[in-house]
Parts: sequence; C-alpha cells; structure tokens
Amino acid sequence: MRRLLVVEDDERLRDELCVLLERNGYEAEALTSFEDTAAQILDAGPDLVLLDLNLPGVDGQYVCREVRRRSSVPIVVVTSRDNDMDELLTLSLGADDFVPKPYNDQVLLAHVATVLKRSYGEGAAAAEITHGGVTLDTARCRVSHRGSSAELTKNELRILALLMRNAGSVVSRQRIQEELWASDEFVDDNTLTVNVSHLRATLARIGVEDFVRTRRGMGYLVE
Amino acid sequence: MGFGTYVADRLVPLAAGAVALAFSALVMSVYGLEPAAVGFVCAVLALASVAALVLDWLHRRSFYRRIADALDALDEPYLVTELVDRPGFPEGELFFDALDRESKAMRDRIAAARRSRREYREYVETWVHEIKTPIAAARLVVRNNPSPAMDSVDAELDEIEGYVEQALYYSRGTSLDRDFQIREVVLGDVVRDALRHKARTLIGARVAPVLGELSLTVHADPKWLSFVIGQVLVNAAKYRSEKDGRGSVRIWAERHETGMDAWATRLVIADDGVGIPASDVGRVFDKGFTGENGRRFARSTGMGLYLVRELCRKMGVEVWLESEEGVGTTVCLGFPDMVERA
Repeated sequence: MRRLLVVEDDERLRDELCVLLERNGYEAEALTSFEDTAAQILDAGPDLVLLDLNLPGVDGQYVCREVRRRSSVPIVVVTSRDNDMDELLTLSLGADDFVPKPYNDQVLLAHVATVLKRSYGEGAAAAEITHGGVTLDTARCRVSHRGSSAELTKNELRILALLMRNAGSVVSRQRIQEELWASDEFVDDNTLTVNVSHLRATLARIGVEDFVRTRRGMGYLVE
Repeated sequence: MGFGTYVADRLVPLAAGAVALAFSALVMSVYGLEPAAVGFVCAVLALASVAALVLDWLHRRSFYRRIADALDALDEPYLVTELVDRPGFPEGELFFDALDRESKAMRDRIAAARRSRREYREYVETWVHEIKTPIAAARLVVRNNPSPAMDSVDAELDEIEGYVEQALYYSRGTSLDRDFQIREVVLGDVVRDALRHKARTLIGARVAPVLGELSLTVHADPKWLSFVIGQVLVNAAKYRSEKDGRGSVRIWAERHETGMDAWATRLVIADDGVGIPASDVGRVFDKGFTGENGRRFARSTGMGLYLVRELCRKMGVEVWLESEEGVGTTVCLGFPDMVERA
C-alpha cells in the first residue's frame, strides 16, 4: 500500500483528507506541526507528498524546493490560488502536479493516482481492490472471480471501483455520474443505466450474480 | 478663439479708445492743426492699437489652442497642464495655475481611488482564496459521510462555490488592470474544464451535454473563458424545461472565412430549456437584470450574464444570445479573427 503524507495546516481539512485517502486504498499520514517542515517530510519518507503551499509561518515554496533538492519523492501541490503564474511557479519548484482548491475529491484522487503511476510504474496506484471474492485490477481494467476474469470498459471499471471502494453503502446515481464526468465522460442518466447493465452482464459471465444491487430511488450498492 | 470674439470681448476699451481718439482729433482741430496732420496722428494711433491688439490676440490664441489641442489628444484630459507651457500673460497664468492645481488635486484623488480599489481587489482575492479552505474541508466531510442530508449540503456548497467564483471574477472583470493572459487554447479543453467544474449542477438538474466539433483553437484566457462557459451552463441547468425535468445542452464550434486566410471562430452553446421572453432578451446581459425567468424559476442575482459580457468584452470576444420561449436559448461566443499562419 502506498504511503501518502498530507501537509496541510487546516486541521479539519487534513483529517478529512486522510479519511478520504485511506478509504481509497492508501495509507495516509499527516504532519501536525510545521517546524522544519522539509526535514519532517524527508524523515517520514512517504511515497507521495500532498503539499499545501499556504502554510502558517512557512514558505510552502521553500519547503517544496528543499524537499526536491534532497529527494525525488513525488509532490502534488494543493493550493487555493488558481492562476497560471502559480501553476507555472509550482511546477518550476519541482512539484509533479498541481491541484487547485476547492478540489473535487475524485479529481484529487485522479491526480494522485496519475502521479503515482508516473513515478512508480503501472499498477502502483492502489491497483487492486478486492471485495466479496471479486478482485478488480484497475491498472489492467480486469475483474476476476474464482479463476475466471473478464475485461471491463473504462466506464464500467470506474463504476465498479467506486462501488467497491464504498462497499456497504449506497452510492447515488448522481455520485457515479460525477465520478465519470471527472474523467471527461459526460454520460447522462440513460447511458449510466446502460453501463450498469453491461457491467452486470460482464460480472454474470464470470459467475458473479447480484453483486451490484439497485436501491430504487437511491442508487447502487455493493454489499 | 476667433478674432471677432476677441474684439467683441474688448468692445468697451476699444469704444473708449475710439471716443478718446475722436475727442483728441476734435481738440487738435480746434487748436488749428492741419486736417492732414490730425488724420496722420489718428491713423498712427489707430494702426498701433490694432497692431497691438492683433499681436495680443495671436499670443493668447496660441495658448488656448495648445490647451484645446492637448485636451483633444489626451486620453486623460486632466493631465493637460503637463503638456502645455505656462503662458506669458497674467490672465493666462491665473487660468493656467488654477487648472494646474485642479488637475493635481484630481490626479491625487484618482491615484488614491486606484490604490484603494486595488487594495480592495487584493482583499477580495485573498478572501476568495481563504474561503476555499473551509469549503474544501466541508466538501470532504460531505464526501466522507455520504447520506441524503449531506447530498443537500453538497448542493448548497455548490451554490456557495458558484457565488464565491462570481465574486472573484467580478473583482477581476471590473478591475482597471489588465490581468488576464490571452493565449491559444483548444475550445474542447476549455469546454470540458467548464463541464467538470459545473458537473454537479448539471447532473443534479439532469441536463446532459452533447458535444460537437470542438477541436478548433481560439485566442482567450482559458480560466476566464472556462468561467464564462460555466455561467452559460449553469443557466442551462437553472432554466431547464419543466416538461420532463431533464434537458440537454449542445456545444459546438464553427469557423467562418472572413477574408483571405482569415477566420472567425464561434462557440455555440444551445440548451433546450424554457427560453427567455422576447421582451427580456435584449436586457439579459445588463447588470442586475433578473427578468421574468429570474422571478419564476430560480434564485437569480442578474450577475451571471453581466459578468459573461464584461469578461468577454475585456478579452475582445463578442457574445450574443438568441432565445425562443419554450424552445431554448442559444449563446454564441465570437472570437477575434485568426490569420492562418503559413
């Protein structure tokens, strides 16, 4: 499991970020004090740093440059300043990616996954999700169950991954659509229904029945 | 100042001079001076006076002309005393000094207003950036604790975010500084960015985008353009057709030849919503205009399309709108001509 370090001064945001990351198959740690931030980051030795540039009393840019000077750990910068200059500046500091606040959770996760993939190769980003005997290989777009496996389309993969990550709770159709929109698949209601029924058919072919349940008027559920 | 005006202004001293001259001529005649001598003296005096008058007129005229020319030439007329020299006659100097003092006071005022405006703008920018942290935190709380109640909080957060964004672009769009960067952008990239931004609003309103040809490039600031498109998309969601509670918004780009190797590109965003009453169509870009739809359907501040027009104007993008009630609204963005590079 990939270890992510969250460097963010807002306590609530920090906690929620950690919850979000942990729920999505990462190990999340956070800094709670910002003295000698760069050294703390290096000591923690994470697989990826999520760095807020506006830290109290610390120059986030300096931290970024210091870490980069001594380590090649991937850095994703999170900032609330969304102008081109900052974006350029951030990347010139040696950061690997830039996510403007307030971010969509799916967008943030997608950025993290992309950077991890780029830094550690395919399959590095929480590639496998297993639930109820079904294993989803997000890097290869394949789902397997008791030795048989099948290929999924990109949309089916995203839908199943979202449901499996939130196993046990109902995911609304709106949420699923948002997830797909976040990766430029602007599907409408009907298309989503079609995608889900294809997904069910694919699962049925490898002997998984009733895995994706419908909760009328609420959404879908993987129990 | 014509010579006529100048003379008319000096009618009293001139008349007095003429009377004095006539009187002197009379006295000289009474004292028995030859009529020729009297005529000569009078002619010399009159000529000298006229010459002095013309010289004085020319002198003044050149000063007033320089003032008038400078006023015409300057974008900021209050800078006129910087461009014109102090004249060499007392009234002109009084006038010039008054003008100079006035324009200095004016410039100070303007500088102060500019400064306070810039400070205010900086404050708005900072405020907007600060508010994003609690919004992001609230958003994650919502996402980490999914429930129907949280979904409505999520929707409210979208609205808050929308208003915050409007405030930011209002302060940017009405700023006196030119702080946007026009570059070449692919329309599809900007459109997709705007769609991702407004995803929740559109999905919640069950309005689906139908994307056409969008591979054309235009010159614009990508962030501003994305905001502009976002405002139009939010309207498509707000004013969707009531009939079946869902809608679509078609987005495509067109290119028209405007001359030899010159092209004008336009982005068309067409929804199938309720449309705008004909009596309102002409005013939808006005600041604070809410119109009938604003009252009937949604909370409307009348800011969205106003900002669209302002930002477009600054970027040199033309924007216009066609609408038919019950059929839909089509917004067009016309980008400046591009000359094909060989």
